[in-house]
Amino acid sequence: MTRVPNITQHRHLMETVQRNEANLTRAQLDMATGIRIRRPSDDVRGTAQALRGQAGRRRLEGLRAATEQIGHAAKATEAGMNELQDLLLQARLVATEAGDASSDTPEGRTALAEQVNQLLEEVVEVANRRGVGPGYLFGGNVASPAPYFITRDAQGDVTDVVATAGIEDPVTRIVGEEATTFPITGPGVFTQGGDVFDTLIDLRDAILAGDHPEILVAQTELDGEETHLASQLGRLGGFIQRVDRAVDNLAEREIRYEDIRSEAMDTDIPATVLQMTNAETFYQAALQMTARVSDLNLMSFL
Amino acid sequence: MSNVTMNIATRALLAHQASIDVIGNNIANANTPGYVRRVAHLASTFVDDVRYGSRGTGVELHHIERKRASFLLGRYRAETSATAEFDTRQTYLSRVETALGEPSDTGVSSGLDAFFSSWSALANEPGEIGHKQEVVSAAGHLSAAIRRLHEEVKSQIENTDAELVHEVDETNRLLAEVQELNIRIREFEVGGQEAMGLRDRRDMALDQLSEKIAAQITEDEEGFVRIHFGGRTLVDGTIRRELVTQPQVVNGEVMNRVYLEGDSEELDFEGGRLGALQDLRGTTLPGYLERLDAFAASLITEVNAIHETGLGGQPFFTGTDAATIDVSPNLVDDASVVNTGDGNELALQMVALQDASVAGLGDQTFSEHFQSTVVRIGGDATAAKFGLEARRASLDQVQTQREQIEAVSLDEEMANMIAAEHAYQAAARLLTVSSEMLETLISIG
Repeated sequence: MTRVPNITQHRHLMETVQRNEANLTRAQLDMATGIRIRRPSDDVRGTAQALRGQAGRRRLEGLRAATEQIGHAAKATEAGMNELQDLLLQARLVATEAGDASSDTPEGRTALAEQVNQLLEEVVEVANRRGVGPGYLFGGNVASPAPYFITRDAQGDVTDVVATAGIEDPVTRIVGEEATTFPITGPGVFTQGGDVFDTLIDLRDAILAGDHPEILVAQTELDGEETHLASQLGRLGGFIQRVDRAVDNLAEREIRYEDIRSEAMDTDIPATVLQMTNAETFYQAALQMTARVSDLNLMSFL
Repeated sequence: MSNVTMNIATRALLAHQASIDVIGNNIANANTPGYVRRVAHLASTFVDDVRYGSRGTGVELHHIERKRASFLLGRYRAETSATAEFDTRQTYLSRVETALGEPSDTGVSSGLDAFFSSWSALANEPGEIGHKQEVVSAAGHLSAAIRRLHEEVKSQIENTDAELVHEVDETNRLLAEVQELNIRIREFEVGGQEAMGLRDRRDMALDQLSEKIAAQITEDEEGFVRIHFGGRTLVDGTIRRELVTQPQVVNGEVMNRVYLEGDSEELDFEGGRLGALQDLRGTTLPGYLERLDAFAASLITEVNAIHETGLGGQPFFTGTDAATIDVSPNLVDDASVVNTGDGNELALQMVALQDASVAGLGDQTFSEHFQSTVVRIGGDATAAKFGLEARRASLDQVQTQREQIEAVSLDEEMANMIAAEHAYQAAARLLTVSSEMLETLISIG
């Protein structure tokens, strides 16, 4: 016959109570914190999966933030180029008006030249405009000085615009998970399809001098530069679309990595509620049994 | 005739009184750790009568038995050693896990990701001082997290060493206690009586000793206990050899080695608390430090190799391992000297480093290597946890078996007490009847 000594009974009762209490506490903690892995030994395989998910998500978060940065920069560049396009269009209209012999008076020429001069100043301002970051829209990797050096005459009129060395170098940026060449450079916008600054300086001077053949030449050059700018805008537009797609793609994949992490690490609420209910019931039963069994002994009946 | 009856009654009163004394002592010690219950064995007395043959003369206390579960002790102590070993491992590995703080958004792995992400931001805006500041700040957090983890693991190694010394002292105390009890038991038992109380204390000391070391314990016919360990004798009757600790400097750290007094060969404990501490201190925890050092050293080497390239190149990290890794003070003072290279070339290389296989880390990426370290620690902690659960279950089983034999059941003692009380009352009644019979005879006269 099996003897059940009091010390054994007490030990088993205490172990049962403590085990059930620990189960209940764990279920409560899972519910309260929303996570079921608080240390690797809670679930080693789950931890490995959670770490992979976390690292993957954080890596993509970093890349997405960087890609969004370059998206903002590209959009600011696009805005500058759109502005430039408007300025060139206006310059061409002025050139057309200046080419009309009916308005060829000294006062008219001066007024038109001044319009071109103002347009030139605006173009220079766009060329040396700062981007969303610390650099310039068209400065490439050159953070300082400004991308274009301006020479002015005694009256303060622009007489020459020279590109700072290095701004013509292609710029590599992170888009998605790739290092990609940014499609736009200052020279690509302002000088490769014809030197916009020289054209406007020549136009202004030709209007002032009443030099119709030169006005015509400048008008033609402006046509070419507008066409070139449109093609550059097209390239940039394509790049911006790529950036947007990359951002969407990264965000989508971040969610997948987050799913991997969450599946491993987060509390399965319905299952945990069930566990907690069970643990609560077992704990209560253990306490009740402890109380009942403690009262049952031969002494009580003697 | 009446004299005989009175003698029977008197003997019975004394025998049952002795039974009740034994029961009382059992009841009093129902919850005393190490107490082994006693059973009073009664035997009938008799005389050989030439006329009537053998004639009963009553009952007497034959002997008191100490209900010791001798055949279970070896298994119980082996399970105690194994349980203590896993318990110690689990305690320390659990502390390392706490220090690790993974998986989370605050540990080394998150610091590593933040560091490389800051380079991504800088690569896309290389002139931005804010991003350079972010790179320095992220590197500072990462290196601090690595140093903190190194410090925590190192402090656990120091704790194991300190506990090892403490446990050696405790082991020596228990060995001395066993030796002293050997002597006292021998002295007591020369007279032929069993030294039950002393044996209880010695068994308890041996139970406690088996938590410390996995020793072979034997008892000879004279009642002396011998304790052997790893082919060496620690206690042999009245002779005892002490464990001694000697501090030695290993890799610049003071570590205590354990020897048997008079021996020059370091003791290799297998099992028990001392075995676990020795293994944790000498193999498991230093293994984690090695991995952490390799991780930090590779990070320093690879990042510096990129950052030192080109004009203005200078080390990004200082230090050589997980204990010393830090961001170069020049960068902390002035983040603008963070080198992105020609344009952002170096920043892009830093970003690419995140996904690169690193030769110093067994061709794993930094992230993979740290993750595998976390998983390794988690695996060790899990093995200790499951091992502890399994050993506890086995220990519980054998402990229950042992208690079934040795421990006190109050219900049983109560039942025995009622039986003894009734027998005592009956004997007293017999004495009364015998007395009345005698009075009747006297009144006839």
